[in-house]
Amino acid sequence: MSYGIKTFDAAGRVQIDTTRAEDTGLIVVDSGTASSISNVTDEDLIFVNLQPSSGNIGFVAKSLSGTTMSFFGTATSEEGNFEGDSVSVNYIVARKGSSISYSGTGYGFQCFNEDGGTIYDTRGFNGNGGFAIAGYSEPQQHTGDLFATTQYGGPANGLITSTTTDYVSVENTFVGTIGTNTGNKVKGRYIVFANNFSANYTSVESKGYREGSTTSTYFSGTMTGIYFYRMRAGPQSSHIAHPNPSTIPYGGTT
Amino acid sequence: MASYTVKINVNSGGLIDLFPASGTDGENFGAPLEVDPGDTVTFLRNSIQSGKSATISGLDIFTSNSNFTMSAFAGSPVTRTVASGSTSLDIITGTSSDFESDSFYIKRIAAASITAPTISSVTSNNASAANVTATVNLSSTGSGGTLKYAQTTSNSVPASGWQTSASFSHPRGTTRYYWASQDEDTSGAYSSSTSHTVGYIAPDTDTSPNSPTIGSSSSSASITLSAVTSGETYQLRNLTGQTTYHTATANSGSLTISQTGGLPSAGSTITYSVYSSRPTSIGGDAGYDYADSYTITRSSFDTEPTQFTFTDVSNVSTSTTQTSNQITISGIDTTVNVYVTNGTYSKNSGSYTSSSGTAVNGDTFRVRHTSSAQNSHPTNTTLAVGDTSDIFTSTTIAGSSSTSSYGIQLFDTDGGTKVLSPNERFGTVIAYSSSVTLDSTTTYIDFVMDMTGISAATTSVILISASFVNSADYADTFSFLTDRIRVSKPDGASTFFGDILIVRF
Repeated sequence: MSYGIKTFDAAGRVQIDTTRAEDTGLIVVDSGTASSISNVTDEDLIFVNLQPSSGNIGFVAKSLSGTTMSFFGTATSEEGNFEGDSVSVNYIVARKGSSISYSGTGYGFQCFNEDGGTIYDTRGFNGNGGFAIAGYSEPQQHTGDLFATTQYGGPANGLITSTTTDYVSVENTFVGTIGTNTGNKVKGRYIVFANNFSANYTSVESKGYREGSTTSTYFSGTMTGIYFYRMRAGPQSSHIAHPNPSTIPYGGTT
Repeated sequence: MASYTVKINVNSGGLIDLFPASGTDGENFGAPLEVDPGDTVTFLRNSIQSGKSATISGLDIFTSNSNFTMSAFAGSPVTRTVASGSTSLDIITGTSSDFESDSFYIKRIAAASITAPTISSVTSNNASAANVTATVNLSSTGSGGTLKYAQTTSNSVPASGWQTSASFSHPRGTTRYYWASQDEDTSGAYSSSTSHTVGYIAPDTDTSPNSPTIGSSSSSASITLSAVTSGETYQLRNLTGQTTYHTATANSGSLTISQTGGLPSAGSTITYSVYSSRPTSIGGDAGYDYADSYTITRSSFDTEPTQFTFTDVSNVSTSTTQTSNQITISGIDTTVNVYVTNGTYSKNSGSYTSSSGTAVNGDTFRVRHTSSAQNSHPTNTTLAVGDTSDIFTSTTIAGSSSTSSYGIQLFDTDGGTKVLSPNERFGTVIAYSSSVTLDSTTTYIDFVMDMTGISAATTSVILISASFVNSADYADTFSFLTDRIRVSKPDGASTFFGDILIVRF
């Protein structure tokens, strides 16, 4: 590195590296509590959180129509009209810093890459801070009834993080269609927030929602944490790949 | 027809005596020898002295009524047949050569008019036995003699075997002919024959068997036939009846058999047949007939072990080997598969491996992995045994909290929100592409970059799409190559359309 700036945190992880021409910060542009968000751009990352009271559970999936993202599911129960009921969530909208228009003058900090492009500008934070990703849940695959041991192997019980205060990306989700054990396709993907919730798979299935090939490891025992959950309608026997087809990042504001 | 004898004596004085062979019938007028038409009477020289003779006359009731003479040495016994006719007393006279005489009294009893009886039916009592009692029923008894009955195996009137009782023992499974007659008159005063057939009593056809479900490892099934007949024999066979598993005889109205043959495999159901047989001693033909069907279902194997738990560990050193506590498998009744992800396992204190294996009750397992190279970072190893799994998590110790000796701090525009410090950092988008289409034609997109410090452990590929409706819509394979990150959609079953953000954290 002949010039520029490169910073690391206490764990040795890169914070800023101006030698990387495309790097840019992940900045919080909106946050709050609502059942829908307007003016969502294609590149925005939406993170949500529910705080069900002890003994309860909530489900959240997104539906994007134009620039409006709506949240559906249930806030405090495994019962409900998942596809039809709006649910109010705590949300964070994170946007890459290079897409934010900066204005104003004063104190701050700007970084440019070698092409002169701004990759960090404290004006972009604009009072909301940045978004730090603490980790992600790896993609998980099923082959028939067996967990694939090939490329990925996520947690068998769908746990994303046991830190219930984390915000989780909803980009991986979509709103399900409630089935009554007919058909054989994934009908929806949800983020599940559980707070000391005691249940078993059967009790959830009886509500009309059915998970995929493995039954015992989902909704078994006492759950506390944030999980992913794929809903399907139909019998258990067939191959259902990708209970979590992509990474699911989680974290919080800095 | 009866035969009688009249003996003749003539003594030296010429006295003649006619007398019966036994008794005194015929010697007195008031006590004649009674005969029927058709009977025969033989006149026999008993003792005729030399030089004497006897002439017998008055033979009117015989079909040949001429007189005859016997002397001491000439004349064979003479047999005469009683002619038909009305009841009358015939006085037979014997005259000796000395003109002495003696009388012998024979009374012809006129034959009564005989008419044949008529059989209306033959009925039997259907006794639970090898033989039943068959009874001859008459529409007309006939007259003129003694009513008698007979049973034959062929359709020919019998010359003997007549009885006054109308009941006969009739063997099951046979046809017999029944007759009725007046005074055993087989010359015409007998009925037409009536054939009568008695079959066998069929064995049970509704035995009401149960259809049990047995355990996955059971070696027998208890089959109860709740509606059986004491004395009958029952067989449990396969569906087609060609293979017999068990044979048992009932001694009450219910029969329980422990079936061990032909049982189904785990998770399946087989249909069986019940065959029944009634022995001849209680009226059956001893053959086996199909009676009923039942099923036996064997439960599926229990492949879900009792939940086991690995104790998570925290504050472990970075990049160190972490071994879990030992867990023991229980609650299954068959061999199940074992898989481990993101680590290795040891079975029954054996060597550690990442290959799949098997487990049974009592097997012990530990899992092992290398803790993260980063501080405060979890490493998860999942062990799946059959349908149960658990995660062993080790979390590395937090990094130094010192913030004063190095690094920089960046604050938000509010002056109070710290967005960058030795312990604060925001995520960094290292690549972005919008409106990406991946399908069967274009299966991947490459993000070429400096890969220094970039790996799957520190980088998240985020797909943004409004059109996720099924698994096939996702680009789900992320390859961290030497000079690029490749996002692939290898199955090509559907189309991914959306934006891709790659964030380092």
